[in-house]
Amino acid sequence: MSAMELYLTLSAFLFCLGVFLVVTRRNAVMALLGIELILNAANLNFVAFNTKYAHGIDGQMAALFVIVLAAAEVAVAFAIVLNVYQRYKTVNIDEIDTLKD
Amino acid sequence: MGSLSILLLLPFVALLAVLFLPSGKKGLLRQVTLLATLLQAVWFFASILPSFQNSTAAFMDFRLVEKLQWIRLDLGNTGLLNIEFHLAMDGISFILVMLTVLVLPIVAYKSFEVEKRVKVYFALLLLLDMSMLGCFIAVDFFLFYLFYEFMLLPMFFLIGMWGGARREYAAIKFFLYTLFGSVFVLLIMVGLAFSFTDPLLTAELGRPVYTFNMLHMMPDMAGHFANMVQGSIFSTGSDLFGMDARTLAFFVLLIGFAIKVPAVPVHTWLPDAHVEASTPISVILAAVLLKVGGYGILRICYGLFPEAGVHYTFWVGLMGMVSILYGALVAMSQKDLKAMIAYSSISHMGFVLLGIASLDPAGLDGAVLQMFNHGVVSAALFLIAGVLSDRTHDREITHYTGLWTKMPRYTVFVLITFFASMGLPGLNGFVSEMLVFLGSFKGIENGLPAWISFLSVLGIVFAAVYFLRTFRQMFFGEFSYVGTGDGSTLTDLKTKEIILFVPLTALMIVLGIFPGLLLQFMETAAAGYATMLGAFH
Amino acid sequence: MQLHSLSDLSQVHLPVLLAAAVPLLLLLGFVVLAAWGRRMNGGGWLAVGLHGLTALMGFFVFWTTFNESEEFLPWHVSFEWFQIGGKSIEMGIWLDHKSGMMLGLVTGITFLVHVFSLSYIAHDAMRHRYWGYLSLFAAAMCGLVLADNLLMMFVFWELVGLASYLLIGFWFQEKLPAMASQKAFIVNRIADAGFIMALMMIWSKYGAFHWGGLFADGDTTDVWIGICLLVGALGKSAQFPFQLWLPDAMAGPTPVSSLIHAATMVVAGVYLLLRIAPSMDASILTLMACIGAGTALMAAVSALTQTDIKRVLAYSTVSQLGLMVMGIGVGAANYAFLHLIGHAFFKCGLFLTAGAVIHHLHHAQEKAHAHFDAQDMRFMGGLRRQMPLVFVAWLCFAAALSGLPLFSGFLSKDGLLLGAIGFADRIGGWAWIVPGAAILASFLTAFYIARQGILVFMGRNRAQGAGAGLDFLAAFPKTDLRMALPLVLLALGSTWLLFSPGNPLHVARYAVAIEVPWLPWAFAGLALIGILAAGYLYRKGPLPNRLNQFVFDLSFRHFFLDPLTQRLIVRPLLALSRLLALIDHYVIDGAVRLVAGLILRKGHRASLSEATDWVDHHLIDPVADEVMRPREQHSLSRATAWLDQKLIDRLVNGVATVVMRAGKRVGHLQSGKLQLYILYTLLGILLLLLTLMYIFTG
Repeated sequence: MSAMELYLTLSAFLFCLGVFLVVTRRNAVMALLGIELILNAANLNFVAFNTKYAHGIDGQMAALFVIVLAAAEVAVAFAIVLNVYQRYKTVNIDEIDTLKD
Repeated sequence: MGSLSILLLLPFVALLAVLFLPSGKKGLLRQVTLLATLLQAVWFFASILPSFQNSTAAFMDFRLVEKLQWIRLDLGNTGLLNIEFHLAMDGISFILVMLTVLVLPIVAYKSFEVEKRVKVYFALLLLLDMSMLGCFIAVDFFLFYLFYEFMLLPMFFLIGMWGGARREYAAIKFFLYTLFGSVFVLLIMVGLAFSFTDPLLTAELGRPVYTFNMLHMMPDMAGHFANMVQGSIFSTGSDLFGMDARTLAFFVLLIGFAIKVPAVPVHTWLPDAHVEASTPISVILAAVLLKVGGYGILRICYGLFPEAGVHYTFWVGLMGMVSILYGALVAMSQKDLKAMIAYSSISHMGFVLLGIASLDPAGLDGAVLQMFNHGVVSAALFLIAGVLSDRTHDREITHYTGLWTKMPRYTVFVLITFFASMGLPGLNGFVSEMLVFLGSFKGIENGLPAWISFLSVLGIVFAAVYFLRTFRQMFFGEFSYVGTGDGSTLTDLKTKEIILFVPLTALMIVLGIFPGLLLQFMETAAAGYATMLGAFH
Repeated sequence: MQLHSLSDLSQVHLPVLLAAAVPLLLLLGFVVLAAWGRRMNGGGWLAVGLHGLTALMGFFVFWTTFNESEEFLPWHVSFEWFQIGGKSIEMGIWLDHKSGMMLGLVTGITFLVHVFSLSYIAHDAMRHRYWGYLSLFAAAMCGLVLADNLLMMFVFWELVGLASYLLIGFWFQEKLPAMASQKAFIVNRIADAGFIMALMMIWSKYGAFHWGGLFADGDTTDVWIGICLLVGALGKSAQFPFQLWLPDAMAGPTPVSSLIHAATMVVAGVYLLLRIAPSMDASILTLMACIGAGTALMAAVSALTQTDIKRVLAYSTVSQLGLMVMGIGVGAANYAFLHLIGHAFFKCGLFLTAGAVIHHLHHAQEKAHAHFDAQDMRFMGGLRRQMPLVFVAWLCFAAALSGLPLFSGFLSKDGLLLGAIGFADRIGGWAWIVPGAAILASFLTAFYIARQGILVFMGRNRAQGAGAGLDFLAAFPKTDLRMALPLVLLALGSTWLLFSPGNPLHVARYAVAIEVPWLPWAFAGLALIGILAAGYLYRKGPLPNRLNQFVFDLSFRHFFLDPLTQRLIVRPLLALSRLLALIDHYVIDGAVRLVAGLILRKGHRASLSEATDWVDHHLIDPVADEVMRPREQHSLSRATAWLDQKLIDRLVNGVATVVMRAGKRVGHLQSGKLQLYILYTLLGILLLLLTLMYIFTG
């Protein structure tokens, strides 16, 4: 396998792991962790593809941007989780089903 | 594999062990953690200490260097970006690592009383341990930042899961505050990496190799930046948003680290975090975590941007003075013992800022020593508060009177610790505070006005006021307890608790009488630092 | 001489070694007593033995230095404590006439007080702590007098403060000692801040703290350094404006008052001033003279009206210390030092007699089941018959304090007063206030001490007025030998014998600025007049207060300094502290919470959830209502009604049924479970991707 394939495999693995977490965990915090993994998988792709792209560091910049964004996202997400907790007294996603009609 | 990576590996191996042990075996989990922290201390004294003995470490005299190529990014026409796994230690980080390895066994032992989710708890504790040590010994900025961020996560959960009634609030506050600070650090770090090149690799590869190595970002003793890329973001004289880029960077980093110290006015996460955190977590937070902020200001703010630091040292000194006085004054009217101690921490960490701002060898020595001493004393202070929490779940100062008759052994430790914190000669706090004072007045030559150092002296008067008032309230008089219950749970210290207090008080006394034991390791490093900073006058 | 290793010790002079051993031994004593004192039945005898030994060593050191000529002194040994910025900070022993004498004095008086305490403290359950603290104090005090540099002096300066704190608060279960100890430490801390500032300036100016390096060469130092050092000295020696702590400190055990708050610790400030005076600027010396004389007068006025036997002596101590400080200021430093030594003997003695009186009264009270304040002089009287020995000793001390001939006070006080007159003569004008205040103070001294003697020892006993039975006086115990011995020795030390054995009326060794042969006798006469006046006024026991209440309170409450500091400093400081705590919580943290609260907290005015609620309620709902409004009002014409019903309805119903049935199936998908939605989305994307791949790759 070439280096690129390795990166992409790892990325795919991370992505799947993230999706798995997001979809299966009942705890909202764990689901958030999954989202982080998905984002990082994307980061990895950004950086990996940038190696093919000889002049410029756009991929890296995008990845950095994602990191900063992720930091902010985590902050907001935790805030939401906290709010959810206050309203529903649980962070179990299964029990929060007011989206249904 | 060198001594330093083994130091990092010890908690990591223990972390893996803890993760693979069944969560039901609480006793085993605890012992593994304690053993790891003890081994770490033994390793430090057996393997790392000897290379610092009998020869004074000068400025930039980094020892036990371990350098591995880690990540090398090809940026095409721009050049290469080099990230290294680069560990090393000089006199200043030596002192702080020593503090960490001394405090952690105490924290681990105190954590034996944790009953809820023991496995996760100890795993997080070990992760925290590793990242704090990593912070102090990483020379590569990227690596430093990695460890710096890694501290955040375990601390968030340690406060938020094992804390008091408002623990979620405190944890989120802590998290947001410090995240806010570290985003600043991240921004500057990225900019810095593209402003400095690695001279050896550049020559070897024939292309510019940008580096995160902090050693390449520092000036030499004559104040010359040899590796700076002309015209880059943080090169001398470049502009950013209409300001001098390096000055801007200095202040942005300063805010980032001042949050961690914490300095007034970005301190309000600390009282909440301390009040809500459980005892061992408070201990580790006050004793070690805050030091990362002081270390960052000294090593990174002043180390990488010395000219801005020297030029604006007044503002750092002012921040130190305000923290000293403000923290002490607010501590005076706290009703919760832990909140009082938290504000006293703010006051005492103010001395660190003041000492650094003096740019004088005595002041810098004092600042580093103050970090160590505050680590020891605040650990003891939070253990003291913990003793009461364990017995009555009540930390209201005015609820207690006359504890001396009821708990004489406890009182002895409280007395020593309070007086050490007040800066009584013969105990460790005195030496460092005195050095900071001596240095700060000498700092007049470096642009620190005399009134800053004179007003700061009032800090020790206020410290006497709040500690003695608390001591009189809680320990003098006839015994009574007005909280829930009749206070019959207030028994004197058990042997287990005495084991926690003895090493800390012994350190207070020994270092009070023989400060040279510690000063010898960093004295020349601090003096060299002062000389380097002096080149920018 | 600089020590580099332990082997260098063999070259050190024996007296210096002994002098260094004294504080170390005492410190060891403290550790032993603190750790095992309780198991040794208090460890009193161990402490007395230890202090006997150190007293002998101290005396030896004193004697050898005293007989050494000034030109071969000081003997100086130092070692490096630690290094800073290439400069070493040292600790060392500095033995000259002054420190030798102080060492002898401190160890000697400490020993006597220990012997006295043996019976005084014998029945206290916590006495092991008492002995330990005393040893700690003695160690620190010896370190202080032997220090060869200012920083080391400051170290021990603070440690004697700690010992004083612990000893004042010895009976911490009671409210008064608890408050007094705290006050003493904090007031001293404020003055110590001055000391620290002086150290900072000295370090920056000289880069060293050495006596030899700083104060020996004769040139005057910076005015600000002088002022800051003066502030430090004023705190420890309880001079204006820091004198408040000393009268309160009487809440400690009486032997402690006699040792620490009369004889030794409080003179540390004077000792410091003596050390630095030669290099002080003239303006500092003048300031010193004014503060000293002023404090001496203020305190003497306050001593006039006190009813507590110990508080009279406390104010007297402040007053005498004031005279010493004035003496240094006016240039009679030798006499100030002489007065310091003499004062240590007679004031220690006076406190011990007071202690003996209180101790005896307590015992008598216990036996006779009487209850009244055993320190209130209004309930005493006539005690000379019950304790003749104590009375005789008291006479000696009082005579020395008043400055009567043949006693030590006569020798030193005259020098001080003459020095003050010489000072005024030199400056002229307003400066005459200084000797005026000092002379008035020494007149009042004779008056108040005579008043004390009359109220305590003369006339008839007034305890019955306080409810004691007839058997009360008979219940008086005999004076213990352990109490008597120190009193006798101190009484001897209060006569001229120690100070000027050749000539009881004149100290030949020292010169004063002005020599007027008849003046000393005039001062002695003045003291006599004071004594006689007191004797006349108090011949029938305590006076009812005939003065204006305000004037009386001015004296009794020491010029209202206590309430004034409470109002002007303590309360504003605490108020500021509370204010800052509120600001911290509501403004600084409030701002943070406001920012964070936008996303964080429910119930906050600006919280995000409420904001979305508001948007929901006011923007989205109305629009939705508008869109979803029932259609009846817009119904079609009746003509279409039939068609509607017959055809379309059926059709619609049919479709509706189908849709509803399908909807019910699909409706399960809309479970409200977030994760399922995500899964659907993913599956959708996957489907899309597969389609695209199929299209593009063919």
